[in-house]
Amino acid sequence: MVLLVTSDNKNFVVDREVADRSVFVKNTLEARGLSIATPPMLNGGCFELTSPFLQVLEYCQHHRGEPLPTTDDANADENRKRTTDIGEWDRKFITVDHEMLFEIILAANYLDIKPLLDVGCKTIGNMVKGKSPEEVRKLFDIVNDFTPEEEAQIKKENEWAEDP
Amino acid sequence: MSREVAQSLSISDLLSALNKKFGWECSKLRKIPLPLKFFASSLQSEVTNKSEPQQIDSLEATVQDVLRVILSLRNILRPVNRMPPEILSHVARYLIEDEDEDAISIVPLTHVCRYWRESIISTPSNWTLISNKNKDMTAACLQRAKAAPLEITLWMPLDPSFPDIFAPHFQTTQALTVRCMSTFDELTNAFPNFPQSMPTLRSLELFRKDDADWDQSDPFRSFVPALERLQLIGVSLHPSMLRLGTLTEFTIRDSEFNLHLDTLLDFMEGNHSLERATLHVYFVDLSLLDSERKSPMRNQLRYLFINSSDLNDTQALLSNIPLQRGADLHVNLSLFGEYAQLSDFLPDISAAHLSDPPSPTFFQLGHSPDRKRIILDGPGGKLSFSGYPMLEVSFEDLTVLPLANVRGVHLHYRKVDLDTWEPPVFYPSYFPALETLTVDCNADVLDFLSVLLSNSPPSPSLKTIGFLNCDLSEDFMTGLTMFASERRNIPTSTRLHRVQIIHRDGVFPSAASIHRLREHVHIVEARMDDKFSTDLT
Repeated sequence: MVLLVTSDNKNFVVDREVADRSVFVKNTLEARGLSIATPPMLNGGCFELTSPFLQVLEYCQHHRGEPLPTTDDANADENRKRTTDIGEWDRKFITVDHEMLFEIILAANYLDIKPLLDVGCKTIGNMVKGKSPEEVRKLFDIVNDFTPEEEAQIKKENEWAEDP
Repeated sequence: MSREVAQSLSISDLLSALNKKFGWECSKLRKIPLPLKFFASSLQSEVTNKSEPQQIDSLEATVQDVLRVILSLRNILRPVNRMPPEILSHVARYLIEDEDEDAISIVPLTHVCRYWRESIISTPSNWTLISNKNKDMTAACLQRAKAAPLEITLWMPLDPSFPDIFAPHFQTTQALTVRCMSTFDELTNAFPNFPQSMPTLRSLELFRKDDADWDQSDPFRSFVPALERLQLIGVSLHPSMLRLGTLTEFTIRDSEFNLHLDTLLDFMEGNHSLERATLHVYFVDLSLLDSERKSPMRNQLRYLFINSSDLNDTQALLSNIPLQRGADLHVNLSLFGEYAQLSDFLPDISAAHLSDPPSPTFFQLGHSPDRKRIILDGPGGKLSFSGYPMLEVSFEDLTVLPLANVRGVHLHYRKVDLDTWEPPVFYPSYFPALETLTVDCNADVLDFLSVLLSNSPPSPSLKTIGFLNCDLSEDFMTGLTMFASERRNIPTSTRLHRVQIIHRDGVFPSAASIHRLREHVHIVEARMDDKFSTDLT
C-alpha cells in the first residue's frame, strides 16, 4: 500500500498497482527504494487539490493492471498515429465540467499518466474540432486579443484553406 | 474619428468616442477603476503637453495596446489557459487526422487568441506535415517545423517554384509521398539529386496518376540508406529494385496487371529485413504465375496482407510466402463471378499459418449478404479473412481452424431479406473453452442459438452472453432462462454469470422475462443504447 498526500493535506491509501499508473509516483517510489506492498504507509508525494485527485484515483483504479505505455508507444504517438476515439468508460469518466476537465488534465500531466492525459486532450480536441476560432472563444470564454499585425497575418492564413 | 474632432474632446468624451469605436473592449476598461484612473490622467497629460494633433493617433494606438494587454491578461486567467503550452499543442496534434497531408486542420486554433497561437506555432512537431497545396502555407509550415523531421506530400505536376522552397529541407525529410505521378522523371527532374538529397528518408510512397502510361525506368538509381517503408501504388515493381537497404515494410497495388510472381518474390527475398508486406495483386495472365523459382521465399514475414480477386492468386502467394511464428495474416478475397466455399482454401491457410503454434483466444465471424469475415486472434498471431460477395461460409467449415483455446466469440450477422433469411446454427462444441459469447444480429436468434440453448453439448466455461439488437422473443427468453437455470444444476459447468442485452432497435424482451432471467443469472443488464462492448469479461 502507498500513502499519497494532497497539497490540502488529505491522505489517500492506495494499492501500489494503482499508484504505479502514475509514472511520477512509480519513479519516486522506486528512486527511494521503497518496497511494494509493505504494510506501513509510505509517503509517495504531494499532489494538487483533493477534488481532481479523487477523479484521477478513480481512473487509475479502473485501469489498474493494464500495460503501461512504453517509450516505443510514445514514439509511435509522435509519429502521428492518432485517433480522437475514446473508450466507453473513459468517455463517461471524462464527461465533467470544463474546470474539472482542465484540472484532471493538469493532474495527469503532473503525475505523468499519459493515457489519462491523452483522454483529456482528445476530449478537448473533440470539443474544438470543426469549430471556428470565434466558436472556440465562446466555448472557453476567451476574447480576441490579437494585434492589427497579427490580424492581418491571420487573414492571410485564412486564405490557405480557401486556395488548395 | 478625425484628429480635429479628437482635439476638441475632453478626456471623458474621448473615452466615450473610443468606447463607440472599440465597443465592448473599452467598456471593460472602464470597469477597471485603478488602471483607468491612471490611464485617464496619463491621457490628460499627453493631450495637454503635446500640441500636435497627430499625437492623438499615437494615443489611440496606446489605448489599443493597453486594451490588448488587458484582454490578454483576461485570457490568461481563463481556466482553459491554465493548461501549459505543451498540452495545447498536444490537443492540436489530435486534430490532424491520419490521412491529412498538412496541418491546415490546426490553423483555426492558432486564430483563437495569442496564447493559443504562440503555444501551437512554437511547437515544431505540429508543422511537420507539408504539402504543396498552397505555397504560402508550405513556406510557413517549413519555417515553423524548424529542424523537426518532415513528412512531405507532393502533388504532381509541381509548380516550378516549389523545388527551391523544399530543397533546403530535404536533409530533414523522413517521409515523402508523391501523388499523381505520370513518370518517375517528373520527380528526378524537379529534384535532380533525389534520393541522395534525402539521406534520412525512411518512408517513400509513389502514386501513379490514374490515366498515366507508366514507363519502366528504375526509380532507384542509387542506394537509399535509411528507407524502411516503400509503397508503390500503380507504379511498376522493377526487377532491378532488389535491395533498398533497411526496408522492413512494403506495399504494392498492381494496376498494370503485368507483375510477375517471381519479380515480387525476388524483390521481397532480396530485402532481408522485410517484415511486413501488403499485396494488392491480381495475376490476370496465368503465365505471370509460372514460377521458375525452386523454393518458396526464404525470409519469413511478421505481417502479410493479401488482397486479390482470384483464388489461384491467393493460394500461390500463400504457398510461396512463409510467415514467422505468431505472424499476422490477413486475406481479403473479392470474388467476382466465381463462386467458392470458404472450405476451399481455409485448410491451406490453416495448415500454413495456424497449425503451429497458434492458440487463438478470440474468434469473430461476420456474415452479411455482401461480406463475410473471420478473425482469429490471440498471443500466437492474428488471422483475418474476408471475402465477398460470392463466398459461402458455414459453421461446418470452421472445424479446420484451431478453436480449442478460444475463450471469446463474437458473431455478427446481418439479414436483408426477411423472408428468405435462414440463420445458420451456432455449434458451441467447436469452442470447448468458450467463456464469453456476444451476438450482434438484427433477427430472431432463437434458431441461431438453438444448439447452445439446448445445452447439448454444453459449453462448460461459458459465463457471459451479450446480445446487441437481436430480436429476443419470449420463446428465446424462456429458452435462455432454462439454459441458465439448468446450468446451476450441472456440476461440471460454470454458472451463467452475466447477460447483457443492448438494443437500439429490434424486439426488446419483456420486463417479466428479464425478471425471470435475473433469478438465475448474477448480473442482467438490459438497456436501450447504441453502445455495445464485445469485451464483457
